[in-house]
Amino acid sequence: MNVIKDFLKTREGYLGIFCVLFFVFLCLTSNFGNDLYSYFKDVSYMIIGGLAACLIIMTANIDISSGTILGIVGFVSGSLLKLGVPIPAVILIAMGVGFINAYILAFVTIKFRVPSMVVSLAMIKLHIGLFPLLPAAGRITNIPSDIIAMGNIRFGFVPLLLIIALAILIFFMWFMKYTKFGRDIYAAGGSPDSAKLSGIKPNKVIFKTFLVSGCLLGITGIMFWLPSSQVQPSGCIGLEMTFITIAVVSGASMFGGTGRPIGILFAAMLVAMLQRACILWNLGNAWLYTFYGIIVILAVLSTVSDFGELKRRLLGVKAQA
Amino acid sequence: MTPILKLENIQKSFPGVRALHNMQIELMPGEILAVCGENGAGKSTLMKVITGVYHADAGNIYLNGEKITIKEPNDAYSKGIAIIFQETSLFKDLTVLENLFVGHEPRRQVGPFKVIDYDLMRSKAQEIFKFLGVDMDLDVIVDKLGVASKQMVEIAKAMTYGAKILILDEPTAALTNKEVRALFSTIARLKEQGISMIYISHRMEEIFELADRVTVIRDGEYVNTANINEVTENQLITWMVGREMSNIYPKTDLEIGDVMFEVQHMNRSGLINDVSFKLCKNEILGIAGLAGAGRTELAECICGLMSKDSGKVILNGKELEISDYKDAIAQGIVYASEDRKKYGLVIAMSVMENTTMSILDRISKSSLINFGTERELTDQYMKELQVKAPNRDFVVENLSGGNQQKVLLSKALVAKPQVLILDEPTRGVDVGAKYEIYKIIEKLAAQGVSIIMISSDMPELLGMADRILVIKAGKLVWEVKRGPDMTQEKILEKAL
Repeated sequence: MNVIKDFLKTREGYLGIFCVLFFVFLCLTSNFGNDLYSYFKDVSYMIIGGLAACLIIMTANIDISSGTILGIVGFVSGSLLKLGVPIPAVILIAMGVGFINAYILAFVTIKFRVPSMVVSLAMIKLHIGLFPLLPAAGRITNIPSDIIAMGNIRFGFVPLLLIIALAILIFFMWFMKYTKFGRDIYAAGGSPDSAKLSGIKPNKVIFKTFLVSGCLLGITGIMFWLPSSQVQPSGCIGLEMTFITIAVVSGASMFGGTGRPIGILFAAMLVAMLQRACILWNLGNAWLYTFYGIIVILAVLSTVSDFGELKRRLLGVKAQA
Repeated sequence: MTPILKLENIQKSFPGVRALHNMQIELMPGEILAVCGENGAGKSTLMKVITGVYHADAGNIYLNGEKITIKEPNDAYSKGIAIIFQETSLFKDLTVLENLFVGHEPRRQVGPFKVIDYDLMRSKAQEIFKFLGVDMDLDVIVDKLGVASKQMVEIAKAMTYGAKILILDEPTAALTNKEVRALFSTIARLKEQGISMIYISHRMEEIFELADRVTVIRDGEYVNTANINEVTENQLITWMVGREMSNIYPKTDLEIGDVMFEVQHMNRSGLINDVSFKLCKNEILGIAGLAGAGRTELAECICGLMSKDSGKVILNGKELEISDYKDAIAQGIVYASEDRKKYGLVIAMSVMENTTMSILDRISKSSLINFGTERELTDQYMKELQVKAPNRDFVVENLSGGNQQKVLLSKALVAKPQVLILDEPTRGVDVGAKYEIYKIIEKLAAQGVSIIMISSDMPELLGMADRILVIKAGKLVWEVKRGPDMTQEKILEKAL
């Protein structure tokens, strides 16, 4: 019990409470509850994409090409699936695509000391230029229906994809806390110089983190495209900002060195809920982006300002009474 | 005579901490008042109250006998109170001239616009630097200046506000001896012109050289004020720590063992020039030299933090292969850096995570960290070194300087060093914590660790080292054993 109590006192705990309240609110005020399945389908790929973005941000870098790479993953894996390549092989190839992309990104960023923001900006343009990512180009239709069905396996309103996503997330929670590499990421992101004086090679750690993030983006791509009946690569331009939003809301600091995977779960749930809510309330995209903007600012404020102080002020009256 | 600045009964609390209590201070026109106290005594808080960064909860501030309130830093500036912080607050991409007038540029009317009057700025700036007695190129980008010059720009900037009261917070911390002399002559000029100064410093000899009077504070409370020629250094230290300190160096006469560590013909072009030395078991070897002489670089070459051109490192008769710092730690050579915040600790991580950072390899099995061992080790060293933190998961950022230094030491000790290289182990640490750190060093030596201590604090080297090497321009110029020859004068003479 104490573990839960302590957790609820952390920033991630507050995020979780808010998330649950909002969830209940949506269920009560709209027919959100009727289509929980497609909601959780969105949450699935957002968890993995958010995790990928969060890992990069923890090393004090940023990857803004994580949206367009999904288009390439979709294009490649869609083509292969149509050719009859088995799904496990396609998943591996998708992870390979993410890996190669991350390798180039990390190599240029670290080797030539170019800010990752600039390198990934260039990567976006390369993705769009070299691959059929423009609207109406690269569309893949007629994907065999048994494959689409595989992406839509469900247990009640819980998609198989969500279970996989949660399994990966739990693995990363464990990984960040209990392995040396996980600890090294915090150290290298928090202070590369101090890490060096602890026998850690920050550049190597950051490089590896990029690669892990790349593989995760490959999985994200599969999760994003598999349940839908066609691949339309241009459709994922802009997703990078969703992922970065999730990472920031989860509590990762842009200065590197902080961030907990558990926060990703709630941040992804929250962002996906906002998306749904705007559809259910007929609010349109303009409102969606407005809400995004507001929660990002609130999230950033809660990391920079003294959260404990705010809590004391909110609860202080109650404590005295 | 009315004091130009007087504070009385100042109270200031932060949640859970009483930072200042019944604090008082009196600054006479044209005098230099030294304020000293241990780290955490409340000096910085007091200065922040004077400059309007913090608001006192209670108490009065008088300027020239008139009661005033200082709402914000700009308020202090406009009343003629300026502070020169330890870390400079200049804009590094602007020129000296632009920096001087940031925020209050003189302007002139051109048609409907008000534009910055560069000519007026330039003539004012020249006047100020002449007044300070400093040669300064006004058009150089501030980033290209050394620490000392930056400080001069800060002082000049204060003068552009017409400051009558100048607060100097540890101004000599990052300066070489020569730069300190230059700063002191500027301070003397300022004093001649009737500027009153509050001078904050750890360094006793500076206080005795510069100040007219000295005020000692401790634990947020006023202790005493005295004329500088009526007080002794020991008296001041006693006031600061609140107890008698007969000998702050807990040096015992240890039997020095056999040679266990040796560096042969270490070379690194431009930095280290053929340095060789031996180190025995139980020995504390001091390394003296001026800033920039190559002391830190020598340590970095030994540990593989910097690549060497040639040279051997021998431990227990065996030549070590050290290609990076990881190899050094694995073989028992550990380096604790001088700049703990930048190069020693990851301040956003906890005491435990910092302590075990360099030995995760050893307490992990197939890359899985053994949390039990990790907690045990952390608790052990927190207890041994008396790290004052609420718990092992406390974030290092919120610890005091002395306690951060102890965490850094824990991090070094947990690696079980045979040779421990300490670079400025007590920089920015208060007197009480210094004593504790010396005790730890002495205890380690007794346990058979060989210690190399790099320090600019000469009394500390003389007090702790069995032998001192003097490095000058990357060369080993002198070696002296504990005895009548080991004096501050002789070491300085060789180092200069």
